[in-house]
Amino acid sequence: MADEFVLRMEHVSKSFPGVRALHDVSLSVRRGEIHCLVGQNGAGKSTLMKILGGAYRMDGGDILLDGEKMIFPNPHAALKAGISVLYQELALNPCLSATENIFLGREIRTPLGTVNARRQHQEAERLIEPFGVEVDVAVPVEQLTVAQQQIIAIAKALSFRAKVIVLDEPSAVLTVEELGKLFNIMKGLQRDGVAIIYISHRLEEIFEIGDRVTVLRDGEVVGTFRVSDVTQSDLVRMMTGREVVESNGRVEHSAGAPVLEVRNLSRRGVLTDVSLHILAGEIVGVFGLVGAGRTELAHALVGADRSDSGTIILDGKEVKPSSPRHAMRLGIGLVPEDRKRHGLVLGMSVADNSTLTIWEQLSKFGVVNARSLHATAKKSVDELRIKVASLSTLVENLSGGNQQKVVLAKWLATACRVLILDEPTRGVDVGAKTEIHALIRAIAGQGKALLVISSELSEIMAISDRLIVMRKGSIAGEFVPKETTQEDVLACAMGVRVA
Amino acid sequence: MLSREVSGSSGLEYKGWRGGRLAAFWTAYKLYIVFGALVVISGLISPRFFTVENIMNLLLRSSFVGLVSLGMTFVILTGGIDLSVGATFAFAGVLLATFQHGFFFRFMPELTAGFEQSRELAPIMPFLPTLLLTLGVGALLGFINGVLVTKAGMPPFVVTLGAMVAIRGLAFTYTAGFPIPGITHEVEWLGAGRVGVLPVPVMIWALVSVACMFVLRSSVFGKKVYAVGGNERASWLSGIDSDRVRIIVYTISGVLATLAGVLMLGRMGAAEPREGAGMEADAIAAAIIGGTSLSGGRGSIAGTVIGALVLGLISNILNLMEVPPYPQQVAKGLIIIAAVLMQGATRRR
Repeated sequence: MADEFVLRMEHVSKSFPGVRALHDVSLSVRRGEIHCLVGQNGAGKSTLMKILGGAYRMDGGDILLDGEKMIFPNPHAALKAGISVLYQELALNPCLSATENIFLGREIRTPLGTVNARRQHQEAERLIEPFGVEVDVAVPVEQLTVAQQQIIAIAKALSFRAKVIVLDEPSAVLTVEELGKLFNIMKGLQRDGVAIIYISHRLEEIFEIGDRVTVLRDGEVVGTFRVSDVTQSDLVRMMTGREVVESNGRVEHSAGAPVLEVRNLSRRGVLTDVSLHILAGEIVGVFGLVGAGRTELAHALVGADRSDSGTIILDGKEVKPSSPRHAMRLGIGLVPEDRKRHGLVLGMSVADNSTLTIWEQLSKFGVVNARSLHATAKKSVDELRIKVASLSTLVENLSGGNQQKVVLAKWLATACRVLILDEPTRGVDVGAKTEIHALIRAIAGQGKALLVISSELSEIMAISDRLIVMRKGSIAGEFVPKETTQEDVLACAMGVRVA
Repeated sequence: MLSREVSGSSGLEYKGWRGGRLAAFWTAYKLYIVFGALVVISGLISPRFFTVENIMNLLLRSSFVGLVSLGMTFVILTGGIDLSVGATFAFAGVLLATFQHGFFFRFMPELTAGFEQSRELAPIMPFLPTLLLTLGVGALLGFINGVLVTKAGMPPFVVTLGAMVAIRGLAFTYTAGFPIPGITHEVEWLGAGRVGVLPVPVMIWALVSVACMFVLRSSVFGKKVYAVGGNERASWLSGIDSDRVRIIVYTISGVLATLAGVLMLGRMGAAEPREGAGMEADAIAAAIIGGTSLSGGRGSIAGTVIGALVLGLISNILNLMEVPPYPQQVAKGLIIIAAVLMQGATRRR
C-alpha cells in the first residue's frame, strides 16, 4: 500500500487517575520528514511519545506503521517494529561504557559467542564520530560530562536503523556546536527516508530544522502546520492560548556599593582569576559554552566547592563560605542547575520543600511549628503562583516550572542578599519561563543581587542588566545586553574574533 | 535500560488501576490490615494465643528487636544501614556487667568468686552511673560509625560490617568467651520486672517508640532525617547539616542497641558475649516489613513497631504450633520475603 505516511497515530486517548493526558490525538508523519512536536509541559508530548515507544499503553486509538495496525505491549516490541525513542531522561547505565551502553542487549559476538569488544568499540566510535566530539567510549559513562552522555544516548537511538526516531528534548544540554552537528546527522537520516519526531522547547530550533510542526495543548492537537507557514509567536500563542509579550520592562536599579564583590577567585584547573561585582537590585548574567566554568563559579561562591585563592566580599565584609550552610547564613543562596538531583527532595511535599532552608527558624526547642510552616509555604505558593492541588502534594508530581518555583521559594524564604540561579528555566515550558523571568525581575526589584547563569543566549540577553561571558574558567568579556548583539556575545564565548 | 522502561509501564498500570477509594485505603493501611489478619489467624490456630500470659510473652520477646529496630529505622531513613547493632547489643551486656563488678574483676577472680552460683551481686559502683556509662559507650560506638560514614565517606555497609566484627571481638576478648554471671536488682528489674502484667522492657519499648515517633514527625531533626534520606545532595545544598544528621542517626542506633542489650542482661541474669547474633538481620527486617525504604526517605516508626510485632508473632505462633526451631527459621525467612514482596508490589510507582 503506497502510503505517504510512514506513521499514523489516530484518535489516541490516555487517562491517568484524575488527569486526561491525551484526548483524541492524531499525528501523521511522512517518510523522510522532520516533524516537530511542541506544547507546554503537561500538554501530553511525552505521554504521546511513550505510547508510541511502548512504555505506556493507550486507552483508545490506533497506531499504524506503514499502514499496518500495530500494538506495542512493551518498548522492546516498538524497537523491533522500527521505532526508536530517545526519552527525556537519559536511559544510560552509568556504570557501563559508551560502547556497552550502545550495544546493550544486542552485543556483537565472535564465532565463539563471546562479546567482540574490538568490533563493538570500532562501531561505537563510528556512531559517535559524526558529532565531532572527543568521547572515550571505553570508560563508564558516569565519568563523562552530561553533554557527552547525551550524545551517546542520541548515537544509540540513531543506531537502531529505525523507520521512526523520536528525539525528546535532545538539545537541553548540547552546546550550539554539538547541536549543529546533530542537525546535520538528522538531515542525513532524512535523506535516507527516516522520519524524525523532534520535541523541543526552543522554538528557534524548530524553524531551523523542522518540516512540519504539530502543536499540543492540554492533551489535544491544536493543529499541524508547515513550519514555513507559521511564526514563533503563532506557535507560542497556540501553545499557551494567549499572547505572550517578550518584554524587558526593567526598573533601573539603584547604583551604590556592590552587594557582592569577587576578586581573583581561582580553583586549579577550573577557575582562573574570576573577578566580578553585583549591585543591589542588579541582575548579572553569566553566559558561556558547556565547560566554561559557570556552574563551578556558582559552587565556589556558596562553598559547595573549595577555591584555592581569591576573596569574596559581601556587603563590604570579606567572607569565606565554607559550605552551602555557611553561605546560607551569610546570605548567599544557590538555585542549582539540576533541579531534580540537587534542588529538591522529590519525595517530600511542597510545604516541606519550600521551607527546607528555614526549618530551624520555624521551630522552637527543636520542634517544628507546623502551623507557621504551613503558613509560610502557603504564602510562597500564593506569591509565586505555584500551581498545586495542595501543600502536601509531593514535588515529584509537579511540572518542571512549578518545581523550579518551589526551589525559588525555598531561597526567597531565607531573606538572602545574593541569589545565584543556575539555568533557572531549563526544561521549563514557555508559559512558566515567562513567569520565572518576571519573578527574577521582581526579586531583583527587592534589592537583592542576582547572578543568573544560562546557556540560552536569547534568555540571558533579555534578562540581564549586565552580561559576563566566561570561557575556559575565566572571564572572557563583559557586555551590556542593550548595546550589543547575540552574535558578538556568542563569538566572545567561543573565542572567535569578529571584525 | 530495557527493564527500566518496562518497569515504567507496569507502574502505569498501577496508576490506571480503577480500585478507587478501596485501593487507596488498602495502600495506606495494608500493613495494619495484614497484621490484624495475622493476629486473627493466630487466634484461630491456637486457643492459647489470646491469653494474657501469651500476649505478654510475645510482646516481651519482641521488645528487644523492637528497640534495636527503632534506631535502625533512623539509619535506614537516611539511606544508610547499621550492621553493628547485634554486636553492640551483646557488648552492652558485657560492659554493664563488668562495670558493676568493677573493671578489674577478671584480674581479681576472688571478687567475683562469691556470685558464681547466685544472681545476686554486691555492686562496686552504684547502678545509675554504670548504666549511663554503658549507654555512653554505645553512643560513642555509633558516633564512630557515623563519623566514618560521613567524614571519611565510606559506605555504611562496610563501616558497620567492620564495626560488627570488631565489637563482637571486644565482647569476646573482655569475657574470654565465657558468660559473666551476676547482676544487681536494678538491672534485673529492667529486664525481668513487671508493672502490673506489663513487662518492663515492653514498657520501655513503648515509651521509646512514642518518643521516636514524636522526634521523626515533629522535630526539625526528624524532618532533616527524611530530607537527607530523600536527597542528600539537595539537602546539603539547601543548608542542611547532612553530615551531622547522619552522625546522629548512627549514634541513636548505637544507644538503642545498647539499651536493648542492658535489658537483655537483666532478663538473662548473665552477660553472654554470643547474645544478639543475627539481631541486625531481624532489626532490618522489622524496618523493611514496616515499609521503610532501603533507599532512604520513606518509612515510619509505627511501621517498624508493627514490623517487629509481625516477627514476634511469627515466632510465637510457630512455637504454639510446636514447630521445632530449625524449620521455624525457614518459615520465618519465607514470611519476611512474602511480607516485603506484598509491600513492594503496590508501592512501585
